[in-house]
Amino acid sequence: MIKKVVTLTNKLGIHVRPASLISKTASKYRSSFIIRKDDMEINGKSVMGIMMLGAGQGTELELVFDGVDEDELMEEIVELFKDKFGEE
Amino acid sequence: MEKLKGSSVASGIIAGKVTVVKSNIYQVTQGRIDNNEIDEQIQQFQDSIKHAIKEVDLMLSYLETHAKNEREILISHKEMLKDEVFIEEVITLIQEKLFPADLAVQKYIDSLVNRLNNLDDEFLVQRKEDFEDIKTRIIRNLHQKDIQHYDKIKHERVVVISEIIPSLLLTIKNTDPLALIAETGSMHSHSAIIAKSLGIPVIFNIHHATKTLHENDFVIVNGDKGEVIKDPTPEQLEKYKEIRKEQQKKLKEKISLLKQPIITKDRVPVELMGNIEFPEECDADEIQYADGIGLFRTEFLYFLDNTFPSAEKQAVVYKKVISSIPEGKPIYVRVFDVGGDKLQREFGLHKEKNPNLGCRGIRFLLKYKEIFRQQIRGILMASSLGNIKIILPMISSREEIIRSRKIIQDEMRSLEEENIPFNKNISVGIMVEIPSSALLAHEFADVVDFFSIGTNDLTQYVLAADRNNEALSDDYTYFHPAVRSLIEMVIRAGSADNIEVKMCGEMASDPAAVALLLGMGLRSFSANINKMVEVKKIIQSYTIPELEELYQKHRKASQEEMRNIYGEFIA
Repeated sequence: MIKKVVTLTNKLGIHVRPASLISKTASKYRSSFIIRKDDMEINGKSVMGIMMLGAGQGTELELVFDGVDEDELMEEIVELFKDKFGEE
Repeated sequence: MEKLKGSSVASGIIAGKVTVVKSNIYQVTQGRIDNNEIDEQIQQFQDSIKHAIKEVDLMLSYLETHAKNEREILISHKEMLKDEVFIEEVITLIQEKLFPADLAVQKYIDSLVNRLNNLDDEFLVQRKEDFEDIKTRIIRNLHQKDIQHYDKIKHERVVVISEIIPSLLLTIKNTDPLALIAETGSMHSHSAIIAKSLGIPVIFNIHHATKTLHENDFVIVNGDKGEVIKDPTPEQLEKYKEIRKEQQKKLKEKISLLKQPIITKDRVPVELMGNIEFPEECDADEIQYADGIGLFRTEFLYFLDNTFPSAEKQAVVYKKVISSIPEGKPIYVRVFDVGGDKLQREFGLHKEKNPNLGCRGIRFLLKYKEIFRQQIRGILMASSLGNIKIILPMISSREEIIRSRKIIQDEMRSLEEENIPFNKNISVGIMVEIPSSALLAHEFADVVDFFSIGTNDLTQYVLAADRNNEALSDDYTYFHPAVRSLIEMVIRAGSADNIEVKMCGEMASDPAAVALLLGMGLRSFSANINKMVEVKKIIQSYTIPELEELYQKHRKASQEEMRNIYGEFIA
């Protein structure tokens, strides 16, 4: 299991487009992927779940990866956050 | 007295009694299911998801391309509907808690929404609406069988409803409604277009209308203002009667104007047709009294199912248009003008840096010939029933016309072999929208039956100015001397070679520009429906000699000068 803390840096936070990007990416892997915000915890493979987080710019999120391909999954997801989901 | 505000979809004013289409279809089933019903409930749930996705696709397909925000919302809804975690969780609720499918959907989504409620961010309001929308969409699909409930709508009433879907509109149409009021709905949607075609006042987005308005309430519906007055005062009623009278008079005037022959003041006949995107638009009076349909855009056929429909399916649509307008009037069908920008994923095309200069229009069709063949075949199959013609979009060279014609020939041959009737002499023309084809118009004479000038693209290509770029809004103008010069070349080529020249596109809908074009020698226009009355008035107001003289006098004018001269001339 790997844990990683990321901060949302894009202007609009996690709206639908990033949410679907994250869930689609995560769904390619077998490992589980959980996103935690404050006391909430959701399945990172669910668009609805991610949208429900309502995470805006500056929010800190804890990402938890667990499974056989957790390293690759973590790398790809963290890359998405770094890249601000291709936004401003 | 109480005033309710919404957004106007179709104008007009009317007073009458309300009928509320109360739908209990959102009320979920209570209780638990039996073990032997689990599989059936899961199957129904999965089917309802599929249907809901189809519905969203359909709504997407009918959105005008510029409705960017609404498009994004719908795309996000589609993503939500495809959420596998959600689907699994609902299935688990059905299996383990023995919830009926609709209840399971409600429970799951409500649990998400409740958690959202704890967050006090403004932009979450939209998110909450997204969840609610998805929920009702799925549940409505699960309750599809309850739809006949709508048969009970009372006749000749002001129909009040929560949300309008195209299929429901057709049911309402049969009840001779006085007006239509909906709680939600997009102004750019297919529902809005069909609603407009009913010819009655239509207002969308009156929140809680089905709760505020009750059966048999007396209301005045003002479609112009997007306003409903419940229990009007005697003064308001008096005023209504006056406006109504005025309106009836105007409508009569419009119809009588539309019935008049389309000729100039000195009785020179001019062709005036209309542009349509959906078959339902044929119902407009403007189209019924016009010289035909000068541009039938067909891209919506693709967006219906996000796939290119078969020839047979397309033929049904073309036949519908033929039967919707007076017999014999021409219908100019423009074959798919789609490009790689929209179809990248489906066709494995590379992302184009500049889709407007990319693989679109005829270039796309000649590359994916099967799509082209199916459409040509569909058009031909309808061609024996009416005066249907083919327009090829984005033509830039003679070779493209010859290659396209060969495909048309091939399809004719195969229909012949199958003994399917079609019009062997169907007209095939081109859109003149790339400057090269305006320059070469004269050399296309032996391979085309007509030219249709598309000013939107012609202007943007010859001036290298994107018409959607706000910074260039002054630069992008069809009054520019270069655009005028290209149009003149096409008109000249047409008259030298005896080939009809027509114009669709925005310029043909602009009264000032029509005055200019008549002076230039153009005699055939296809305008947007809402501009046809204005354009007709212009045609009737002047003589050809005076327009010719005006044009000759100002031939050298700049774009600004030209716009002002004609703007003042018709004022």
